[in-house]
Amino acid sequence: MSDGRIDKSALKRLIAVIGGAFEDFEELRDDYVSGAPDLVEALRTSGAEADWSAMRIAAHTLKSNARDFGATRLAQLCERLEHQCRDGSVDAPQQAIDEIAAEERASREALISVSANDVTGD
Amino acid sequence: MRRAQTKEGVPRGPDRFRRHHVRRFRLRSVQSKFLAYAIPLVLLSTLMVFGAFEFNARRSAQEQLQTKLNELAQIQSRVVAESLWNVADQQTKLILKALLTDTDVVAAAVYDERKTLVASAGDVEGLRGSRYFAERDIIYTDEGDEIRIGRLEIAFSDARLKAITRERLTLAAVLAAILLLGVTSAALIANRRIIGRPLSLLLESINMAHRSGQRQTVDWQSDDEIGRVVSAFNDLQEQQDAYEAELRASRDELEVRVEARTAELAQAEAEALKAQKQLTDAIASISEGFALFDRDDKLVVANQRYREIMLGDGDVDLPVGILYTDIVRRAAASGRFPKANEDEETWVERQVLRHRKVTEPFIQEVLGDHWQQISNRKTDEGGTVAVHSDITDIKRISDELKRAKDSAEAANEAKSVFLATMSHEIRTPLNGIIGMSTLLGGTKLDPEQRDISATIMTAAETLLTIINDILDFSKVEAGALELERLPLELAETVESSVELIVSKAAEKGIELACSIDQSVPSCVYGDPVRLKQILMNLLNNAVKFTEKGEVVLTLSNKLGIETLKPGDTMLLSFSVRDTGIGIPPDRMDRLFKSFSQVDASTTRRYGGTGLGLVITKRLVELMGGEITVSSQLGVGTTFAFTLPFEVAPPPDRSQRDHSLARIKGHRVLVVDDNRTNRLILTERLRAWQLVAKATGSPNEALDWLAAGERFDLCIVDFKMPEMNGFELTEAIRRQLGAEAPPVVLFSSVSPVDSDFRVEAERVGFSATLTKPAKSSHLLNAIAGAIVKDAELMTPGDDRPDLGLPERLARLKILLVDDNLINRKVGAKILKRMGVDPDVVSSGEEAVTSCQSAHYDVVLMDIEMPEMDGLAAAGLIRANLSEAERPFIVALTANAMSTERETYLQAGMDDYLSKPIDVDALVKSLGKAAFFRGSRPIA
Repeated sequence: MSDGRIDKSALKRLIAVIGGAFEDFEELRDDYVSGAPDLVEALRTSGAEADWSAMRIAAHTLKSNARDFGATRLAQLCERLEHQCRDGSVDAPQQAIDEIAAEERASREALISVSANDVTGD
Repeated sequence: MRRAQTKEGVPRGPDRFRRHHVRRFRLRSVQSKFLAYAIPLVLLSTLMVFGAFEFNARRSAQEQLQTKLNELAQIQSRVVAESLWNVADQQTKLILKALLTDTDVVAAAVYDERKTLVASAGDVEGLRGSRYFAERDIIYTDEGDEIRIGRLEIAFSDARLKAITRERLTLAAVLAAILLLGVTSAALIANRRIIGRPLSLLLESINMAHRSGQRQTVDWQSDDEIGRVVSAFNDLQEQQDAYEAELRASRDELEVRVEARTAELAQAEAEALKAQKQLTDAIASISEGFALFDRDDKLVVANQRYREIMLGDGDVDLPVGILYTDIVRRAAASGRFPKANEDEETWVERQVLRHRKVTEPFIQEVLGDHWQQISNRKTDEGGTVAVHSDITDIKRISDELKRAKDSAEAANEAKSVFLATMSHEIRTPLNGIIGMSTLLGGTKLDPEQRDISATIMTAAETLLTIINDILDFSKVEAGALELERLPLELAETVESSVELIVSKAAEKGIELACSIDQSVPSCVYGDPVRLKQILMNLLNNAVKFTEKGEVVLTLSNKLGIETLKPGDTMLLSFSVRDTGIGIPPDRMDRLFKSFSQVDASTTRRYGGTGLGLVITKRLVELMGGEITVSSQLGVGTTFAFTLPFEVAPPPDRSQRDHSLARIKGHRVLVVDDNRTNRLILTERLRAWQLVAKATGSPNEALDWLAAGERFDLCIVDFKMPEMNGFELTEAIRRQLGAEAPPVVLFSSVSPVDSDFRVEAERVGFSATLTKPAKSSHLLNAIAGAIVKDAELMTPGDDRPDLGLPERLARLKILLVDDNLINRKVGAKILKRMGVDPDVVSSGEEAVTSCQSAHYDVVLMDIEMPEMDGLAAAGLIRANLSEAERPFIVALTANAMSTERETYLQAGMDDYLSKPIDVDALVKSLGKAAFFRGSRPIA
């Protein structure tokens, strides 16, 4: 939790808006953890087909979710890709997706290790 | 062995056929067949006929013979009786012998009663065996007694009978032979004449057709079946001839056509070859690199230039059929592409991707600061055409241009910054001067000092105007003035422009009127600030050049169309008419020129830079309109301009409409000594369907009340000649006591003035408004005074109460988001607030849900695949009637504030950015609840 990949305040905010129960947060986190790799896979598939529209949607969804779970850097990477997709000029999609995949993995691991204590204190 | 077998075996093919044919032919000879039937029949019938004759003839001959025998026996028995009685045996014998003379009689014998032969003649032995034999008793009649005395026996011969029979048979045979001959020859002749001849003619014709293919008409006419067959055959032949002729004709034609086609094909092929050659030459000769790939990305053709560009050598072998990927790899390996040298794999991948998914033309760096532009196009067959153009020069020029443009822009920006800074720098001390001279004017001054201070202030104000004008002018001239496109409330904009002029006009005692036609739409898209500027310039001018009379601003719908929908384009006609000094005709043309007032003396007398009208004209033109002026010296001037506008949806008027509905029909007393203000106010109140009665005199107002007139509200001006607003209010309250209506106070005094504020609080007003008051402020004040209803609070004022007011918890909400996590988060937030939302995951589902159930609010994600939020919202709106439509709130993670306007314009009722902020959500739901509450049908 100390690598700064996950923005704790975002998690606190999320827990606050959904009513403050860590169990509810865990449920959402499970959804995220199981869904995020699929979204990265969707990025790869759409990249291979150069389907910018599908890539944009996948990037958008991952961005939105990453932002909810405080994966700030991941959200930024996704946002950049999303904008490139919208403009129709994706530079080195492979590279971008690899970067997102790595960040997604790392932030996912960091997110899994978040415990109730991490986000309910101060 | 085999051969022998074949030879001995069944004859094959035609041989067998022929034999069979011949046999058949013989068998089927009509003649022989006919005879085969006729002869036996003739024979049989002859036989039967003659047989019958014979049978009859023989029977009658036999019967004759028998009769004769019986008669003879009868007679002779009597003849013999005498001689026998007398025993004259000799006599008896003679009698018998005499009998034999008859050729038929072969024998006769007489026996006595003892059966002893008495006499006989002929062959007595065979007597009893003969076929014709008769015997009689010999009776002797003696005096009436009949005595049997013996017996006579006679036998006849059948020899005569047989001879006659023989003769008859011979005759019959001869007759039969003759008959047969006749029948046969008749048959033969008939056959030959009636059947054989035509048949052989037919056969001949058929054989001829068979052999030589020539058809001959069979020359045979008869009215029997054969004749009909022949004529049918002839018809058939004719038809066949005709058909064959036709066939031949079409075959000939076909041959001609085939020949022509063949020739055409040959020519086309030659042309194609030629075209191909030309194309190849053309491709080879163009200066661009050109390559064509088939649908499998295999090379079809590439010119020398392409090889040069991709591989650095035009003569290198690039075989047809090589894969694009291989070419790119070779290109990367050639080291000609700096980007490839950095990361070959990615580079190759990118090239292939761009090649397959055809995109816009793109630019690529080639070693040695060369640049090429690559355009890929898909052919109809799914192949790809790649054109590589060397754009090194163009790129260089464009780079230079870009640098030049950048520096020009930088310079321009510097200039703008300079101007902005300068104006700021100048305006700051100028405001200081104005402020200070105002303060100075408030101090104790002798008349000369006061005059000086007033002059300083006037000069400073003039200078400020000039600076503002110059700034605007330079912006307009530089084309740097950009118009905004915002919803523009026409009444609000026009009214507030007029309001700003009110005091100046009042100072000079000029009446100011503003008339807005009913057909003018409430809201259009435009730049409110600039429209106001135009109006202010014209109004200021009008007031400036008018000494007495009036200045009237009118606004009308030029085309007069009253049913305008949002999105319609319409022309608005503005005019500002004054009763001023007028403009001489020979000066009119200078009116809109820079730095030119009508004449130098005007400048001296009225001040101003003369830029105002120029800026006005430019602004009007910039907005797509036209300004005209008409004037009569000494009578007045009218400036008129028309502007095109797109009608905007009416602004969120739900609250306003709600307020208007509540205050409609109430009576309002207006007391203001300023006639213009009174007029404007009265007009506005009437437009709101209030019953307004106005007076400039507080005493008159008190008189009305004393006379028993009652009002729901009083609007009083603060500064009035007879008594001020406070005094009037108190007078009213004294007069009416508890019945006194609420009072709204108008004042020009800054509410910051603490004495005024304290006094106003003491007296107690429903509202105090600073002149000029905006329509909306005035409406709120009136509504608040009359209705005193918390419901009239603006929705935005709702306190975000986390316990969620019950009216919000009652809302039926549909949450639409394709993202599972967003759905869950949203649902959790809402549930926590006590709202149980329905949740769907696509635009399509949202549309369906809204049709099957009623929702107050739809929280709609914008970014969704297939049908996005905007499209779904559009459909929901289109599907439902005004009363059923939900309040649609856009949700988006694209937190660009510029998009907010876009969403609202696209028909969303509100906008929230993700992650959802609870306070913002509550606020938005508050708006939704208000929106619902204000609807005719909840």
